[in-house]
Amino acid sequence: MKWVLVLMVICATTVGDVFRSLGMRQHEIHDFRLGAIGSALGIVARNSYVIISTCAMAVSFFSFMKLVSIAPMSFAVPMSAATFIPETVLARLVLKERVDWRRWIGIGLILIGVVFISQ
Amino acid sequence: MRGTSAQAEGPLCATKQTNDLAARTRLFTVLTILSNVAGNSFLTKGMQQLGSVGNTPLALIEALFHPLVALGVALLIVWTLTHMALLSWADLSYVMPVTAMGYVVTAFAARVFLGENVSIARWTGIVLVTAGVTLVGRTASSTSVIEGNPR
Repeated sequence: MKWVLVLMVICATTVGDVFRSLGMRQHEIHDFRLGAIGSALGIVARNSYVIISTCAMAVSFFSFMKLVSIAPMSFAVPMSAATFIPETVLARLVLKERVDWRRWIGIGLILIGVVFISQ
Repeated sequence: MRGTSAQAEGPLCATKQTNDLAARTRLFTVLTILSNVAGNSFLTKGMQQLGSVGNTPLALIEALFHPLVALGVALLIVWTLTHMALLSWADLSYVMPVTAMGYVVTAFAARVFLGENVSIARWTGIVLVTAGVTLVGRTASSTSVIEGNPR
């Protein structure tokens, strides 16, 4: 059960973040007046990538809640941080971002760090 | 004359835009980290005070009326909005690692507000995460050129 939940958290968070990025880069937010934010929200809420992302984020949130109720935080937190790896690979392949060595090394350091912090 | 002045303004404009973008990225990164850490903390605290909550949708909706749970959810809505805004101009492979600074903020918050001890292992983790975030923070925040959004 524990590992099923870990897999669900990792997959749902990855799908959520990648689709959120895909959807949001179609509507760059640069006007921060209240009215403009309201109309931007209206447009973004109808973006199909953002809708998929929001559903995936909800699955991720409830799976994580369930995971911490049956497993210790020191297991759940680093396991969910493992999403960094598939997300970075997809950022490179799907989102066409330039992931240079500093990003890879940085992400590696963060992953090891999260394991230590969660102990 | 006109051509010269346009040429002179060009690079200046670009520098100003770059500075604006960098400042906006920093501000939204901080907002994203703080709303996430505070939201999760209040939500956890509220759920702990409530004790066991049933698995039915009605029980979960009832839990939302607990003040700490409500505050936590409100902050997580702020997190969602700032994170979405940030991703509208910055790379996912930039945003994801730099917002990992939240793990460090959480560890310090536990030390300051809950008086928890920070062990050697945790200090090691804090140093490693901070080093990783610093390294990623030195890369350009947006490098993608897809979806007709030239960067």
